[in-house]
Amino acid sequence: MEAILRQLPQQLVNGITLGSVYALIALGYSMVYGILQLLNFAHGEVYMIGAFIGWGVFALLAPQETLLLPAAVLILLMLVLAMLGCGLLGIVIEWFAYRPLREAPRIAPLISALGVSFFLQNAVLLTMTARYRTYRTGLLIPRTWQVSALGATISMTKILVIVVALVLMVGLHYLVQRTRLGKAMRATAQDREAAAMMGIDVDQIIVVTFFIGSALGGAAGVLVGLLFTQVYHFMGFTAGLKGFTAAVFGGIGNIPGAMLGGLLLGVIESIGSGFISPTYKDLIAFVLLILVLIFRPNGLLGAKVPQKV
Amino acid sequence: MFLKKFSIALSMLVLVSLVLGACGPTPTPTEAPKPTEVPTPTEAPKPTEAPTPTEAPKAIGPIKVGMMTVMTGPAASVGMEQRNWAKLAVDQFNEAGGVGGIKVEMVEGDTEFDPAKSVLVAEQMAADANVYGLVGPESSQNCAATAEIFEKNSLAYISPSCTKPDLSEQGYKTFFRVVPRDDIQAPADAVFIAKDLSAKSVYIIDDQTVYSVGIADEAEKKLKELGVTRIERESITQKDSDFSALLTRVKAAAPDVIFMPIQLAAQGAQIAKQMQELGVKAKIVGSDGLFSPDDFIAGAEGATEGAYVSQFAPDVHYIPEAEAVWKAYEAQYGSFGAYGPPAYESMAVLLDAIKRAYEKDGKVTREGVLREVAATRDRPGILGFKVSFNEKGDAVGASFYIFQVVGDHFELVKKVEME
Repeated sequence: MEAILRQLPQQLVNGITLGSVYALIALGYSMVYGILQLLNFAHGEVYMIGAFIGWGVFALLAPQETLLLPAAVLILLMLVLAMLGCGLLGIVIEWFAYRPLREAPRIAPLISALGVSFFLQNAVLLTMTARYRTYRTGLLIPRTWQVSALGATISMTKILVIVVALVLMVGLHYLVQRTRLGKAMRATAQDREAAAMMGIDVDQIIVVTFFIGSALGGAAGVLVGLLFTQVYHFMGFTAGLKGFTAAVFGGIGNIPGAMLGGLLLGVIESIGSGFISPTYKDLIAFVLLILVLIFRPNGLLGAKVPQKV
Repeated sequence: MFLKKFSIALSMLVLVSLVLGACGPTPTPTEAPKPTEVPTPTEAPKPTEAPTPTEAPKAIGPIKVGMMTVMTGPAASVGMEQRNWAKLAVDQFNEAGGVGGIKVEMVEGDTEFDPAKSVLVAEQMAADANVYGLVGPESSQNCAATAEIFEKNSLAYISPSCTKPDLSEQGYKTFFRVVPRDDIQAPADAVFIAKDLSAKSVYIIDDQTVYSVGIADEAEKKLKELGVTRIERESITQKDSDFSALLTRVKAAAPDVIFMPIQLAAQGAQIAKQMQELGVKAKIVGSDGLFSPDDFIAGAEGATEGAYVSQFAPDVHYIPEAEAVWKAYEAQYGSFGAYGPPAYESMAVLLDAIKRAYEKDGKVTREGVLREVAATRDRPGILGFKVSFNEKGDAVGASFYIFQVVGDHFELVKKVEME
């Protein structure tokens, strides 16, 4: 029992780190769903491509164990380029795979999303081969840089991941709640037709939403690359599933819900692995998800959706 | 309006491609040639029976051998190494004259490390009447999944890396392997942990595959016999990348050794890195799955330094008979680990058998090749022992080796003979 209690702070740290990444991925799902009622299953692949862009930047600017730029600048550059690249990719996906199907039955864009997902996965497989690519995070942030407190060890990499994720989420919250653009996004989510009648350029809002959601996915990719150091073409599948689960957990379509869902999922997985068994961590997470959905079918923070007439 | 037209056009396209696909290359059951298609006994006294060197090529038609391994996905680096070594064996065999002047062609099948996919590949290989034997599959779960297909089609297959013991205990006549079995590997690892490393407590991590659970079970049993009482065990999956929760548990248990008989070397490297980050001090011991210089040493950025890995093949750099072969390999494909050479050996054994079958029967049949593979006796090769198969298809005299990560490579620390 004492051993278990001693593990608790460390497991919480593990869970929050993992959870903040899940939250970033979940945001991309939730934002798109909120506006289009579309499950963008290609989002996991966008995240994977973000991880590869980050790796590419790293490999380019740190050949042979020497950094051409200070570590902080390099990390920033990796994040910014991955976010830009993924944001643009998101726009292309929307334009190519979803826009032509916007008035089609809801199953059609779903299939299209799966198609895009396979396409991206295999495109990366073809161009980058199946080899694992390694982020040499040790060059940027030595693995021995860590803080110990209350029996928990937290590495600088983990701190970086949590801080970046938090900054991005706070920024997004500000954007959605406090700016004109955010207001337009919320209006579009509430009622697309009415928003259009009020003079909002709905198409443009959808494009912006895809850009932001995908950029967050790209950032998550780079953060996971730094944290777990290995990226490969298939990594988007599991991550996408987890992000989607987190979004549903918190209430899909709801932005604070996605953040909460992500963090909770991460913490539950860690606590479950730590105190019950790592073998059953997914089982534990999904049983809790089912329980939540039984009592709150719209997720933890999901509001009851008014029936559109 | 446009959309509607477009979708009609699209569905037409899909329909057409479906129809075309249906009459594509997949042979219908009636077409599927029996493996024994080559001259029937009644036709026997044709020139095929006594081939003169000039006629021979026409008489026996194309000869293909299969190479079935994982070429995409997380284990692709290991699979591609096997594929390249097998290809080298075929190329060298062809340069030396092939079979009766005919060059042997290698057909490749990607198992994607997935039993469901490997069954499809096995069916394809079996349906091609010109395939007379194959090397692969790469993993115990895929060997288990495809065994029946090869047996039904009398197709000899030699695995360069399937180590699960019971694969050769099911009475199948077509299964062979040039590597030793896990009922040597697992106890060897256990003895190494308990005796050589004098560990008092061990934490075992398996990845829930047939291979991994098999070794973990065997080793756990043996460790208990050897008096290691503090044993804990947990499982991960091959999709995991975050092990911090598990390793926090491990840290609390403070074992002397972490034993991880898992299949993905990249995952092993990740675990090692996260151990370093969390300050877990235990020694790492792994099984053959971790033997990859790229993934387990380079990919770990120093975190695996000093880790031990057991492997079913030696480092052929130190085997004199192998020198010409590995030099040829390095010139063409670059550096390699320990997975490739057994694939070369398997392919060479298979090609030899095809040649002998042709020389004895005057033709090549699957039955003849199978008979000759089984009859392989004391064939000198590059793995440091002469290959003979026993009646189960296991190679007699294959050994296990325990390596340690030193700098950027694996160094041999112990050799365990098969009794």
